[in-house]
Amino acid sequence: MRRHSFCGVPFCFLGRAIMKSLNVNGVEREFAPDEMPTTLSGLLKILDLEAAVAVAEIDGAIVRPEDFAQTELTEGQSIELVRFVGGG
Amino acid sequence: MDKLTIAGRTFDSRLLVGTGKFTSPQVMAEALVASDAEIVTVALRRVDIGDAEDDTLREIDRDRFLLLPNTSGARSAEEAVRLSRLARAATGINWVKLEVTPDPYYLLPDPIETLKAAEVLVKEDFVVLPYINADPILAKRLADLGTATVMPLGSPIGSNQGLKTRAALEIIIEQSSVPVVVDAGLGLPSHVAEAMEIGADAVLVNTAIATAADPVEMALAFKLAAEAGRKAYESGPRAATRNADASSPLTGFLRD
Amino acid sequence: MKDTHADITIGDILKKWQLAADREPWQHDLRRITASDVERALASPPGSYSLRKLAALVSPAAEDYLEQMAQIARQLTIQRFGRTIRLYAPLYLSSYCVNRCSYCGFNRDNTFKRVRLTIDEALADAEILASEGFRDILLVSSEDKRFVDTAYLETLAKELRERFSFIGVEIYQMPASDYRRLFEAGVEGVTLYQETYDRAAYGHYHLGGPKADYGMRLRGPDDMGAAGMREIGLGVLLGLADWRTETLALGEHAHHLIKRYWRSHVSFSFPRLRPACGVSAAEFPHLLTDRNLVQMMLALRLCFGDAGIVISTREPAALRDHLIEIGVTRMSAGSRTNPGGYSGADSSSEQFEVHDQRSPAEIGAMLKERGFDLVWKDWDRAFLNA
Repeated sequence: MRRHSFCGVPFCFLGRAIMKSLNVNGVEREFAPDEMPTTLSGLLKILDLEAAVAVAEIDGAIVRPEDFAQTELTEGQSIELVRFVGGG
Repeated sequence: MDKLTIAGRTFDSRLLVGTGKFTSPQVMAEALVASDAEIVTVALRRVDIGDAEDDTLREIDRDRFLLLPNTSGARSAEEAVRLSRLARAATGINWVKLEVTPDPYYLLPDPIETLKAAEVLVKEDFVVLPYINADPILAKRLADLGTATVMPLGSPIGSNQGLKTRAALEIIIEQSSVPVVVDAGLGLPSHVAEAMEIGADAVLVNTAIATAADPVEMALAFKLAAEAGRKAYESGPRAATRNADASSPLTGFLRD
Repeated sequence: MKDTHADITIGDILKKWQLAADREPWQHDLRRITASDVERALASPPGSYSLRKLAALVSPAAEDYLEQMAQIARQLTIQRFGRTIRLYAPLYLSSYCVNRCSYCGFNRDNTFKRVRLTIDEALADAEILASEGFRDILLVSSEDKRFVDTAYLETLAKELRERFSFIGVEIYQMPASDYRRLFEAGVEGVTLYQETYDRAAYGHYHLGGPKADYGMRLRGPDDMGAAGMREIGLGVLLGLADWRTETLALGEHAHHLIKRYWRSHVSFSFPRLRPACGVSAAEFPHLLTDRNLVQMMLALRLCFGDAGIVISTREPAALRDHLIEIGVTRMSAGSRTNPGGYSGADSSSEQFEVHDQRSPAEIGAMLKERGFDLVWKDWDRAFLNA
């Protein structure tokens, strides 16, 4: 399980600092408490995925694209970001 | 030529085209236009966060093409239902090509999982187009549940072998009360013409167009083949003539 | 079920094709069919159906092609059924009737000694049939619901299933739930003749009683299919209306049922109006010649390769012997069309005259001589639901 710190400080230096994590597409991502995105749109912005995501799931519940901005995130959630690709 | 009707919508084109395996989104877009298709299939995948491209949908003109999401990748009814719901949430379109393929070698569809998923999806008001092996009984069972079509394969996905299942397809076509869309394995325009000549309502082609040396010209060839086959079917092709055997009259008794 | 196909009824189909009323356009079209149209129909895959094909085959132009049609029909029948003929016997349960159908000997208005069989009497007649070799029995009754009701038929069927591999009924139309009860009791097939698909003719000949309801009659086969009946027998009483358009309606009806109730097997019967008590040939302007009958049978066989073609003892022996060569799959033998007839009851009160009086043994011998396999039963019930 890879862990990334979005405040730029390597994890090991944070010692017992409380990080918030979200599981995004199967990968655990760590955020400093005040830097975790509060909405799904915010998360997409941080990941530079605003144009790429067609629909999402949070803890198994579907979130439509028109609701991304209003959907609030809580730490510990599992998020799936899905797009359309070519297929037969 | 008469129009294709699926779930109450009519279409002029009987050629459905898939969007996978193209070398670039631009080539794909041009090929779709050349094919004159009105329904195109797409698949759903996780976004690759490290290397995100723009959503493929952008290349497809949604005013021109009806998007038909498929559930490729699903290996169980549950996964297929989940993908269907995701697709509908993404686009607002309730059409889905139901594809449940647990077998990674031939990508053959699982009849039992397909039936289970179809039942759930029909109840949730999806327009379901199930991909199946050419099994006439399964086709009837799915139509009974309320699927909008059946989509029996001609031969395994990507194999380009044509109508290996022709005899079974003829039975399905004869017995079906929903449109029959022959899907998978159509490698040449002549395969498509053959499918249409035996009475298929439509065909779906992906690999043969996408992987041709010139996909745009090949798309045009397939379009022409679908039209030729359908025209032939509507014109009443003649089977080989039988000659009466005058030496043993069965109806001579009526002359008296 | 949400698909729109489920909402299309046979009534809608007949209306769309003008086969239920105002059939003038068809009369006109059929006369315009050419030899070339007939040849095209004959060149299409044998056993495949389209209304246009059936029209070509029942047209006046096709009369010159009977021999060719017969050869194809024979070939097709042998391919699908082998050289087998199934023999069945009808068992008449009652001649009491609440309907007033002007063509029928059992018409409520006719005066004659009516008979009803008790369960025991019916079983006695059935035993005689069983001893003659029959394993396929058709229970026939006029609409005598007070006596021959669903419970009576259930009881009878449960007794008979020990002795007979196939029990069919030819009775008044009932709702799907009642057909289902019969099915559970061991009845696997129902025969219900629409008599005529022409609404005007229907009204003209059915003067009273529940059977006067055209729509209800028409729904019968759908209810049979919904109830899971394995065999659905269709037919018109030939002579009530123009046979060519009746055949087209029959074709559309069969096609609808085959698509909708794909687990059921459809058969065609060809009851031809014949004299009986109170019925005169002068009143019926659409009587068929033998030639017409043959053309109709062949047309249906060429369009429905898997359908049963049934010929009863209404037809004379000589004709039946020719018909079996060109597509028949099931025929009755040694029939008595008056209730209790096998046990020796008075034959003056029969529903129709039996014109082929041969015993099952004689028919069996004839079939054997012609190289047919006579089949008394299709399969052994003991291996299935006992």
